Formats: sequence, C-alpha cells, structure tokens
Amino acid sequence: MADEMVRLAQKFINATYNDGAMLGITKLAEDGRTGWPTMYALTRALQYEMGITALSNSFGPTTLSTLQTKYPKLDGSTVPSANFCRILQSALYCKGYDGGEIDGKYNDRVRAAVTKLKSHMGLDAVFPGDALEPKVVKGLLTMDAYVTVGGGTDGIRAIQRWLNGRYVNRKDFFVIPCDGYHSRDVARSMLLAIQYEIGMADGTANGAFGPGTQAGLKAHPVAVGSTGTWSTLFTAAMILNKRDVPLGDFTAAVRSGVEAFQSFVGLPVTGTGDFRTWASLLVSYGDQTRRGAACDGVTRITPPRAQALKDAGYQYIGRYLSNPSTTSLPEKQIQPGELATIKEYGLRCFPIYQTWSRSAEYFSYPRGTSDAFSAIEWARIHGFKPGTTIYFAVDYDAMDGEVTSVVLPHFRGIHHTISENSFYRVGVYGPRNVCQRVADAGYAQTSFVSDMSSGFSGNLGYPMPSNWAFDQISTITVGSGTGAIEIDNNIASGRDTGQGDFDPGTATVAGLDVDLNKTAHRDAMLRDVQSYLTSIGVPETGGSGWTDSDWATLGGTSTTKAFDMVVSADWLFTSLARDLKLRKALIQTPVLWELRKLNPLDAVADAAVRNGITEDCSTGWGQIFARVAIAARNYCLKEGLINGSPLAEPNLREVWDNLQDPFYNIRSVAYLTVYNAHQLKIARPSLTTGQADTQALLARYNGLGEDAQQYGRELIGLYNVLESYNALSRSAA
Amino acid sequence: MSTLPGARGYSPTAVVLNLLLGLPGVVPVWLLYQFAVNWPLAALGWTDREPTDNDGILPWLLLPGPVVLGSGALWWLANRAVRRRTAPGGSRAGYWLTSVLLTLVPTLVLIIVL
Repeated sequence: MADEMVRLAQKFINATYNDGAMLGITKLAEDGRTGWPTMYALTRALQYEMGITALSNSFGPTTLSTLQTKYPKLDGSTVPSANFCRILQSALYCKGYDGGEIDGKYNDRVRAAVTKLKSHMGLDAVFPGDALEPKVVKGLLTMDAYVTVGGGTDGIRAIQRWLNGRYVNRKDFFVIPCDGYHSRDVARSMLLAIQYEIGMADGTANGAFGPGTQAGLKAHPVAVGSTGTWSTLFTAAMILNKRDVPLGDFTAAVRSGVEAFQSFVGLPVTGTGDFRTWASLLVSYGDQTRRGAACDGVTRITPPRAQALKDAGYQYIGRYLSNPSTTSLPEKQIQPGELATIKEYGLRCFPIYQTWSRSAEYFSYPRGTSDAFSAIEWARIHGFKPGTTIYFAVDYDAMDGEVTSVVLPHFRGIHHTISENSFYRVGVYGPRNVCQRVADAGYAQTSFVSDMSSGFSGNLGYPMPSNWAFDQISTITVGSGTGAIEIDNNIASGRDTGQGDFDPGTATVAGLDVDLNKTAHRDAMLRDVQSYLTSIGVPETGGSGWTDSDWATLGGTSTTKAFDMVVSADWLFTSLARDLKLRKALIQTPVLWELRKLNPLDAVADAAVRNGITEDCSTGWGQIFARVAIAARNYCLKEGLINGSPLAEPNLREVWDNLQDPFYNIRSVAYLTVYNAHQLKIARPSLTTGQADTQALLARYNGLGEDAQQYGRELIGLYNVLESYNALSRSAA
Repeated sequence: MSTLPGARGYSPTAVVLNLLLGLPGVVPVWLLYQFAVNWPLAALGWTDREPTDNDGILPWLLLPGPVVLGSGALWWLANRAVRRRTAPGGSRAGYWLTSVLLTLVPTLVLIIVL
C-alpha cells in the first residue's frame, strides 16, 4: 500500500542525491512503497553523509564502525546535518513510525518515534532515552518488523525483545526482528546467546553449534527449580519449537512440556533440560552421537552388512526403488535378492523414490503424477506389499514460496496417483517445512526429515513435523570388513515400521509404451494425423464443407490444436497405459477425436448441466458422461485395478465437475476402455489386442448402434497412426 | 410498380429487405439445415447423423432453437409490415413464398461459393 510520507522520502533521495547518481544507484520509483530499494538508497545516503566513499547496499562493519566512532548517540545535538536527519526521518517513515516530517530537524516527534522504536526492539532498558544508537540505526535500515505481524506470536516476540535487550551490546549480536516469527536470525541469535552465557568472547562466539557450544551446554543442564538466564534460554528454545511453556523459570509446567517434547522427538523422557534436549531444541540434527533404529543408504544390503546393521541396533532400512543414473551409485537401487536378505536377518525396509529432485524446476503436478506411477511400477517389481509407505524426495532447500507454488502441486499429483492407482501410501522426504506443509495439505501420511542439513532455511526455525517417522541426523559407517557400510543414521518414531515381508515381485513387462519422443516425431506424427483425418472428411479446421453434418465448422478446435493438447498430456497417457498394461493409443485416440470434434453444442450441453437444466452430458477432453465415468471407475475398482470408494448417483455432479479437469478426464477414458471390454465381453485390452477388438473398443466408446460402428471405423485409422509413432518411441527406448 | 415472377405486386422494398435479412439469415438457415440432417432426415434414413454428437436434442432446444425462432419472428414482423404498406392487396402466398426464396439467396450463394 502506498504511503504519502514514504513517497516524500523517495522524493527527498531523488532530489538531494541527483536522482540516485551521487549514491551509485538509479532514480528511486516515487511510489510510496517501502522496499529494499528505498532502504538501500537510505543506507547509501547515510554512508555518503558520513564520508564513506565505497558506497554499498549493505549496512556492514565499515558503516557500523564509522557510525560508532563518529556518532555513538544521534540526537538533536549530535545529528551532523539536516540531510543526515532527513535520512533518519525517512527511515522512520519507511518503518511505519512518525518521522516528524522530513524537515531535517530532530524534533519532538522524532524523539517520540525513536523511543517507541527502541521499546519495540526491546532496547528501552539498555538504551534509555530518545537518541539513536548505531545498532538501532542499523536495524532501522532493514525491512525487519519490530511489532507482531500476521501469523507471528507474542510469545516469540517476547523472546526476540529479550534477546535484543540482553545481548545488543555484544559485538556480533545485531538487533533481530521482533515480529513474532521464528527465523534463521532468531535461531542464530539463540546460539550466540548460549555462547555468550557459556563465556565465549566476542569473535569466538559465532552462532554455530560447535564442540565448544556443545561442551558448554553439557555443563548447563536445567531442571525444575532452575531460574535465571539459563532457564530463560531453555524455555525460549521450547517456545521456539512451538511448545506451550512460560518463558522464564523451569517450573513443573515446563517439565511437563519437556517430557512431551522428549517423547515426541524420540529422546529419553527425563523431564530435564539435558544436553540431548538442548541439542534437539537448538539444531535440527540434535545430538549427532545418537544412534537411531533406522538408516538409509545407497549400498546393497549383503548378508554381512545386514548382520552388522542388526548388531548395531538398526531395524528399518531405507532403500531406493530405482536409480535414474546408469553410471553413478550402481547399488543405489534395491538389488535382486536384497529384500530377501533384509527379511532373512529380521530387518525391515522402507522404500524411497528419488530421481532428480534437487531444484524447484523439477517439481510439478504432472511430474508428481508420473513419478508416482513410476514408483508404483517399481514397488510392484520389487514386491512391496499393499500398505507400504513410499517416500518421495524433495532433496533441496525449498523456500516456503516454492513449497506453495511447485512442491504442493507435485505432491497433489503423487497423492492422487498413489491413492487411486495403488494400495500404497505416500511419505515425504525433505526439510521440516516441506514435510509439515505436505502433511498439512493431507498429501503424505508420514515424513522422513532431512535434519542433517541444519542450515537449510526449511529446517531453521521449524519444529519437527507432526507426522515424522524418520529423522535423518548423521552419516556414519557401521560394521567392519565385508560388513562395513556407510549409512545415513535416522531416529525412528515408530510411525512407520517399513516392511518385513515381501511379495515375489512382478516381472518387468516388455513392450510397454514410453513417453513420446516429441523432438523426433511430433511434426511427422501431426502431418500423418492431419492426412488421415482429412481423408475421412475432417480437415485441419472446420468440417468438410458447408453441408458437413457436424458443427466443427463453427468455433471448433483445429486438428493441430487438438493434437498438441494430447501431446501435452503425453506423460499421463503413457503412465496410464503402463499401469493398465494396454496400448497408449487406445486412450489417446478417442481423446484426440473428441477434442477435434468439440463444437458449440458441447458448450451448450455443459452450460445446461451447470445451470441445473439437466443432470449429465458428455463433457471434458474425452467427452464422457459422468454416469459412464462412474460405471467405468466402479468396474475398475471392483477388478482391483484402482483404489478408492465406489461412486454412485449422488456423486454424479461431483464426478461431472471432476471431468472438467483434463487429467481426471483422461484417467476416466483409460478406465472406460477397460470397462468397455467387459461390456463387449471381450478380453481386457492389452499390449497385443488385435485390430478387430481395438476397433470394437473404440466403437463402444461412443455407445451402441450404427452411429457407434461408424465411430469405430473412423477411429481405428487414427489409432493406427498414433500407435505407429508410439511404436517408434518404444523401439528407441 | 415492378413485379417478380409469381408474385404480382412484390415491391423493390421487399426484395431489398429479404436479401438483406438473408445475410444474417445464413446462421438460422444453417442451424435449421443441421437440425434437419441430424434429426428428422436422419430418422427417415435420408441422411447420416454425426456419430460424435451424443448429447441428445436438449442442446438444440437451448441455443439453436431460440436463435431460429427469434430470427423467424423478426423476419415475419418485418415482412408483415412491408407487405401491408406495399402490397396489401397482393397474393398472400405469393408474397411469403417469394420472401422465403429471396431470404435463402445469400445462403445458396454461400453454398455455391464454398
């Protein structure tokens, strides 16, 4: 939201510093919006006024030390110039305080605002009065908030103010935000505070959880009756981990909270603030000397290694369903006979699915869906039983915005597919924030937390996910000789105990469809589709002429557009064809045809359903009736091909609405081909279904009677075109 | 006053009116044609229905129906007014038949061109 005084502050910068040229920046937008560009400009202006020649956006050590040397206390008597004061007034306005106009005078309103700001920062006791101290100025020139902002809590803000007030005079401690949010800054400040209390000198204390800090914590356990700074720090750490305890003394209520926390994160329940509890509260990996009951790794579990793991107390072993690389980590994927070894030694296995999930670009709803289909296929090949939880990896430090924009849609695709197309369950592997948000969205039952990466933004400042099953805390080597194996050591909560018994596993099926090689085949495939359709009176656009018997002449979809829509969903056609072990073209053909034949009457029919004039009509990409989709889905459910609850007449509108989603629609087309085989009393479509049955299935897609037979005659040619190119892609795979 | 064959007293105004109405009339005429091909004529076995359309007659009643009926009403009102003014004593059947044929001219031209 624009603010007039912020706009005046921007005007002041532009007018005083030659549209930013004197500060080495471009002209500020005079839009009245506070943002980093304005804060950087004010920082540079301050540096300029202090005579610093190398101007920088950063309020770094030089700026701070110059300020401390020249102006340790800025007030009405020490502000060196009117413009210097205007910079401070502008900054106050940008932070939402009354700067007393931008008149260059450290007036009463400025004094009141500074007093209020310092109180908000928690500095009113350590920095009494209305002067601006250098570290306050540094805080003033950030985008940090010093009042509770939406979603923040007053409890965390109290901790932030307490930390500021107690440690602001330490050299490496800077004013942290007091916005009620746990963050990277707060986590580091907590560690600095502990190091200061341990007695570390400035320069030694660095906010890292190193050996000195750990030794200091071991020497400072807290328990019921503890008071003072250590108990305040401990209760602060509890609150930052979303434990509802009072800040300050270690009371009986705190002990109860500690016991609950220890139980939740898998620590011995002592009710005291011992080192392990301190560690789990302060860093995501906690005490790395702990040995868990679970592990994961990229090395084959041989009998000697299985024995070594068992001897070391491990019960649950995470192994990868597949390995996309043919060159690196040759034993990353579960190896033949390995699960039998795991079973033989009384161990249990939890499967992990990961391909290239190391950046935001990887994640999407389509990718999640095809990953899930692939995971199902591999899990069945390895013989994992229904009920197994498969962990899908988010193996990078996903920012919160990326979780919203790509990770959650990715897991929606995974959840939808695993729930509908298998009897497995979804787990998520990743930083704490990713795991919790995927769990909150209902897309994963359990979490496998990558807590070893304590510096991840997604771990810093986030408590353990509520549904955590495995907590990855360290990499260690277990066993010796042939039994030696490097593993990631995981704490297990017991929420997932993996699988101790396995089915024989399904053989890999040869000849399944693969993704279309678009680069090689798209253009030629389109030309052949156009050629065939033209030959049966369906040219690139419209109908075959003025008296053509359909409406495609008006407002229809061109062959190219319909074709490209089908190609855009190739990943889903491929996945469904592989899952149902039938030819991809059998699903593609009716969808392509129906898209090409869409006409205004279809839109009218849809509008009739939307407005309650009628209950059902053929709709969406595949132009399917909701009742037909329900019948097809129920049949596949009964046959064990898909998972879910049977649908009935009351679900009609819900299914019709779902059919507007192209992906749901395409899935329904696939299930319908299987159902139609049942209705025709012919064999379920497979990789070897002949031309006659294929034509019969395509005809049945449109119902019964001569119209349907005509439909089948027209579509079998289109099927053959699509299948010929699918075959080319298969042969090259 | 000029006349057209079979429509004694048919005025130039009526000729111009119906030719002009025939231009937007292409749409309802085409809709009527499509309806006839897909339903009554197909039922008689004279034409083949488009097999892909399977939503029944309801969509026809919801959009093409009102378009055709509304267009027909406007056409009728306009012609009634012109006939009363220019040929009140002429042949009623001849006037309306001539009007229908003239209105169809743009559509027939379009069919020939396309």
